[in-house]
Amino acid sequence: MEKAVMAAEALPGITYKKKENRYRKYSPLLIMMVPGLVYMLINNYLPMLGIVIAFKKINFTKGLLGSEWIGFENFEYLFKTSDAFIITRNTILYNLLFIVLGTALAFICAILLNEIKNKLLLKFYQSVITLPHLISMVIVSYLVYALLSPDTGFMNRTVLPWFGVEDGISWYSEEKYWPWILTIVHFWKGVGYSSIIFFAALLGIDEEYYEAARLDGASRVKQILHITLPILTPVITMLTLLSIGRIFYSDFGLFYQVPMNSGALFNTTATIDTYVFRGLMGSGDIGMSTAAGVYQSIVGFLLVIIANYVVRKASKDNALF
Amino acid sequence: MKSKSKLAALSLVTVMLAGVITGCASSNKEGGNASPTAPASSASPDSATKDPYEIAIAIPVFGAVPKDIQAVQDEISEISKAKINATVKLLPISIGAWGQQKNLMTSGREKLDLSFEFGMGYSSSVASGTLKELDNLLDQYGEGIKQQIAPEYLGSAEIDGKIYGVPVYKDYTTGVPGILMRKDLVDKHNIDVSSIKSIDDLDRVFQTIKENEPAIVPLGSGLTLPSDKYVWFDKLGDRYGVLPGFDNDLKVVNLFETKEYEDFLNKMRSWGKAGYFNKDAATSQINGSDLLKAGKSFSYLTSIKPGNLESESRAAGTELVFAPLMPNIYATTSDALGGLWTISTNSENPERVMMFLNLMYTDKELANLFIYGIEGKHYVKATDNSIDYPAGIDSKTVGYSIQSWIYANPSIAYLMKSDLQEMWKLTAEANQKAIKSKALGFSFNSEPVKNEMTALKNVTDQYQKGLETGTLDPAEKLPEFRAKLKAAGIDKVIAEKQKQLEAWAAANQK
Repeated sequence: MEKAVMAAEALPGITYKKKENRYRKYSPLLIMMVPGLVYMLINNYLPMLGIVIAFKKINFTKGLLGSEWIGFENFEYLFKTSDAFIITRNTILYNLLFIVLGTALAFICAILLNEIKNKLLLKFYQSVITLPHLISMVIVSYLVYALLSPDTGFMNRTVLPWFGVEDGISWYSEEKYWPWILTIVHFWKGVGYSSIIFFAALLGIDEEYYEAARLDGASRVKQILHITLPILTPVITMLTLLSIGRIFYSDFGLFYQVPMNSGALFNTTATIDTYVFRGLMGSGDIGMSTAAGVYQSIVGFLLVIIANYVVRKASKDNALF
Repeated sequence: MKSKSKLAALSLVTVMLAGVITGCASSNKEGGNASPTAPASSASPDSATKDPYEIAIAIPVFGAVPKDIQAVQDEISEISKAKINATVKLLPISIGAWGQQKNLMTSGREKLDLSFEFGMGYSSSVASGTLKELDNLLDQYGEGIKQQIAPEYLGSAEIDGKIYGVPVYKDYTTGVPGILMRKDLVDKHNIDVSSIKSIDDLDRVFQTIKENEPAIVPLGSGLTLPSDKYVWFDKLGDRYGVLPGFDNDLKVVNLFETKEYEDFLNKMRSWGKAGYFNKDAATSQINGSDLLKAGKSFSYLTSIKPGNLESESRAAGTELVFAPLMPNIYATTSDALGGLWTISTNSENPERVMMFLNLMYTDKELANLFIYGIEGKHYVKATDNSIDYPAGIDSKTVGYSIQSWIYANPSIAYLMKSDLQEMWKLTAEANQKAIKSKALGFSFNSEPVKNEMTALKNVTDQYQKGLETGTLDPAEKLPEFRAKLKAAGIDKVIAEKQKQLEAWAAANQK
């Protein structure tokens, strides 16, 4: 809704003589904004007060505000562990890979979809690649298990014997395969959904650009490189900036369910989220789990600010704010 | 053009993110002040029950909420109304939401009086202040409870010298560790069950099965591990620091450094290499009995308490035979505290709630109602002391049922016709004759070392399953496991545990 106001302001030919005049003019828009703002306030801003939990020793009888302050004690476990390096490294590396490769794949997907002119086929392909996004990770983990199960899996039973590997691989105890497996699963599940944004942006590009390019004899590839890509740069930058904000989070389902919580794989599958979950499952300490969330979001927030600052230096138009 | 596509994308992203964000629920309720009301010791029983009171009782449900719960609740209220002038309201909470929902109810000061509590959540519930201290109430209104539960077991619910929960009446021992095997195959291959005395004797049995029954594995393992029940030590809550032989003069040792543990792992490794385990034992989410039921395995390790053999056979859908692998049974705090009944700090009338809890331990009619529902509708009597489902109804279609082990005192209720009829007599015997662990009654408070506990939990998750199912080679991985435990601070946890144990022993003159 804020965007609607921004758009209206951007309209040329309107001059503002008086402030109240301006408010009157936009009052319908402002009123339309209210429900959205209230929703944001209640759903997104109010819960932020919960951050105090991270700094308290929660006692339900004393209540949230009455509980004792303990400073950064709840955060210690995230850093004072021998695994701190592994979980941080895994979280960041996987996310970097997902951001870079994910953007590229989603972009390519969107361009390919854009080339399909048959409406019916387009809808069909779109549905097919988006469908995995709707499947719960728990189910995905069993689909993966059906492929990789040591006894009955498709890989060990059918695929590997084709290549002369008769013994099979015990997938769930060999950590070296998992960066590949997790990446494939992640993109199989997510690429269709993320290509929707690019596809929508592609639809907004004026056909005239391409026509002009074709008249000048530009090939398909040239058109993509010199028309589509530049026009979509702001979108790509923005999506990347937003994903950087979540770089300290990991897809819990992907890293916990899909490897079946197999201990032998922790060196390549443990992330901050799974570490916190495993460690606190027994005790259920909400102070410590909140601390993990606060840590993740503050680092994410700082990274977004920094990344945005860098983008802003390079090209003001592409920055998020 | 540029700004337009940016705008369109921004709004799209906003919508998509909103979808992501709304997934995160928040618990932001603010608690008021609690004013713990000490029980008025001068009040006579009559004046204590003068005003009617409604007791809200939270119980965990595993599956759908029983559809006739309202009718049962009304009948329970009738009994309690007559006896203590109180009605009840049952609050069934799905097991998945159990812990969270109860915390929310406490912090939101919702009406909650009486609640079941799992043993493993007990000390953290006490630490977070959701439970009322019960010592005075028990002295005043808990006569029946004290008769039912022997003092050493009631005392095992003590934390810092105070009782916050009453243990459910059950077998408080480790049970007899042993192996359950399919009877048809035992008979077919002439396995002499009486000659099985220790895990070393199992090699022979497993070899026979491996050679003659290629379609199944000798030992099933997955969600449950052999070492869950095959224990030679008091795990003192969590296995980080244990008492070997349930005594060891209260000297806490690091289990993973012991010779016994290494031997055990080597045994498991030899079984794993020989193919006695199911291949996916280290990751399987299926427990041993389900593997056996699915026809994939011959046996599983477990421990047996009175009535278990019958119920396990029933669950497996085939007759099982049991061979004990250790001679004695022991009573430990962890086993005593399987489940407890607790009074919430939200309760406005804890005296009346304690009277009701006392009824749960003593009133036969109430017990039958609570566990089985209404006679004639949900069960019919088979003999004087046992019951069955009414004609045309079975365990899946009955309108009311709960897990009988969550009930405060199932021993005063009927037994199902298929249960072992001497079960409660044997249970009482087992509780009496069990060798009491020297640390029975001691609960470890892990709060001072919670950072280390988090790290340790991750380390054990990484290695334990793989090692104890013979998937990983102990020669290579056990030193790694030990080193990582040290790095995660197991020594600090053990020192803390030793300190608490000594303080506890001094306070209890052990």
